[in-house]
Amino acid sequence: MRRYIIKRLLLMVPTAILATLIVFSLMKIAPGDPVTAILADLDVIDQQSQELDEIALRKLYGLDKPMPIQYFNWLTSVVRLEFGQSIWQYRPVRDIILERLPRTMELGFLIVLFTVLWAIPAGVLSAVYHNKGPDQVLRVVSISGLSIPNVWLGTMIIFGMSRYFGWIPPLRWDGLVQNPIGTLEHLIFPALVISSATGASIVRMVRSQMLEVLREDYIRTARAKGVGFKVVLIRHALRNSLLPVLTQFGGLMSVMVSGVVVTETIFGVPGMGRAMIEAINSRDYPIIQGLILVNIAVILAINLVVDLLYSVVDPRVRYE
Amino acid sequence: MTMESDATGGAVVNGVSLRKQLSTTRKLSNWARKNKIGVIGLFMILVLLVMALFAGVLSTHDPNSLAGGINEAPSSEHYLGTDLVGRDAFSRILYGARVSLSVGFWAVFMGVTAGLILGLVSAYIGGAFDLFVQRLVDANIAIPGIVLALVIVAVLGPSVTNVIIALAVNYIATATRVTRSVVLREKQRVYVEAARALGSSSIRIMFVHILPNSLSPYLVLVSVSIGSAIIGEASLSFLGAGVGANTPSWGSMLAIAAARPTVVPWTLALAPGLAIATAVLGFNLFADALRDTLDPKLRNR
Repeated sequence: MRRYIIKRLLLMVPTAILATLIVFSLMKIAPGDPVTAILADLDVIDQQSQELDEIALRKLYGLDKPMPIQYFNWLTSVVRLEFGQSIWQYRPVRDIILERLPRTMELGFLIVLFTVLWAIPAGVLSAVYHNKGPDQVLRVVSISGLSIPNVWLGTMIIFGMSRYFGWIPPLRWDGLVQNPIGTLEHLIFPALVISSATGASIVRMVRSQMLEVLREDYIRTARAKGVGFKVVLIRHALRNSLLPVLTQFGGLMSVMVSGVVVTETIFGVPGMGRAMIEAINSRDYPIIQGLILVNIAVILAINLVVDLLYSVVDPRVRYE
Repeated sequence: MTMESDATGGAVVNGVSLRKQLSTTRKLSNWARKNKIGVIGLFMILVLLVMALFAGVLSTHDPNSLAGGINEAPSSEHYLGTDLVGRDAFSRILYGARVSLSVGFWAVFMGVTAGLILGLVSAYIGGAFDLFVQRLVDANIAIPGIVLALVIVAVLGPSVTNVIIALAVNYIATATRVTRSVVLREKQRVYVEAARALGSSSIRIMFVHILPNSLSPYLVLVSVSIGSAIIGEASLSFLGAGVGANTPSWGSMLAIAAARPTVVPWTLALAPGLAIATAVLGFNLFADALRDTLDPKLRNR
């Protein structure tokens, strides 16, 4: 088990490096680097002093070095856990990540909670009432969840809430532990919106898995032995249906990330998604790079955790 | 005209068997009868296609001109009201269909086709090149689609073409993976060996012999992905990194409604979203039916 984890962690490194290299090269293709942006902002009229400023600034940000060296320097600052220096905020990108990441983690926690809370019971219900009333209703619900984009659902909620209830998202941010009610007020709509999309595919998955498992012999055996229907459903059938569903959760990460970026913008959550949009709008490349790196690391880590959870849900799965 | 029966009892007119012609139309009508939901999806797509193709005829105003007062409620003059600066929402919805459908189609077509070729070549050649492509695919999948698309649009600048490129990149990796796995299997088949024994070149074997056998997952991937590409375009335009301010887009219409919810007419929040949902639902329903027909093994993926 431990050897498997170490092997997986080591395999992550080349993937992460290649991914950051892709992003790093993209930034270099971009017309106009941060220095030209700062110069435009400084508004220096004198041609000669502008040129001197440019040389000094390039040196300051290390942009006068060749690209491989720049990339290597950035990697070193990642290893030192600084993630580079922000251009406009005059502080290490690490500080921005430490400020924003917990908020998005709290949102992510709520999304997973809501998804599990509505999607797994709905999937079980759908399978138990196969092709009957509840199943038909839930099928329509899950198809709508898949087709209604987060941008629209979020817009409709903010539209209805501010128009008819005079509600606007809170401006202050305290954190889930310090101020649970206020933070929940901030996060409940983004979490609901995103879990409608993630839950929809989980419902379908749970339903089809349950239908398959419920036909198995050991289910009939358990029932024949006189085990109650509910116990068979939860302890025997659901447990065996969850493994493929877990795989699905890893694949839903991209849905969650795009949902987070969109809903954080709509509901004014000052998390990673909003930070990304702000950094892109101000062309603060070091922040963009840092945020993407963290994003990649989180996704790779979650995929690993999901893989490891297999053996918890299904003890037959062993890792070498 | 002479009529007789062929060996299996099918009608033969003037020596030509009718069986083949009949079976094509019958296959289609059988498919339609079995996949009623798929036909509904197809119908929704057709409605949007008509909106997009005839936007010039159907629209009541120029989509970018200041056609009326600002934030007007729906009326007989402006069916869906007007927005913050007085542009006609109904006309913008119609022209928005053009943007949504063309971005959705071209992004997926380009991305999946690139993935098809990359997967085909990489699986056929194998070795170090294949290993490199696989790492590249891993890296691409590790970067969340919307983030990569946002960065690409930020780098290239907002325009329809750039949004298509930004979204297309996200479909390459999956298409490469799927094609690669299909080609690895096909490569072992006897017909490939036969072609090689006959002296066919590698390029001929790849593109004439193996490629046609990898086409059904290709079609499934294209149809499955269009819905998500339409959502992608709407999200990018919503976030201000989309097709640009002067091109009517459903996503940027929603952005106006979300930014100023208390002043704009309610149709501005409802109509663009309904249009996006119809497009996505239409493509998803059609894709589901197509997938069941072409590749039952891919179900539930």
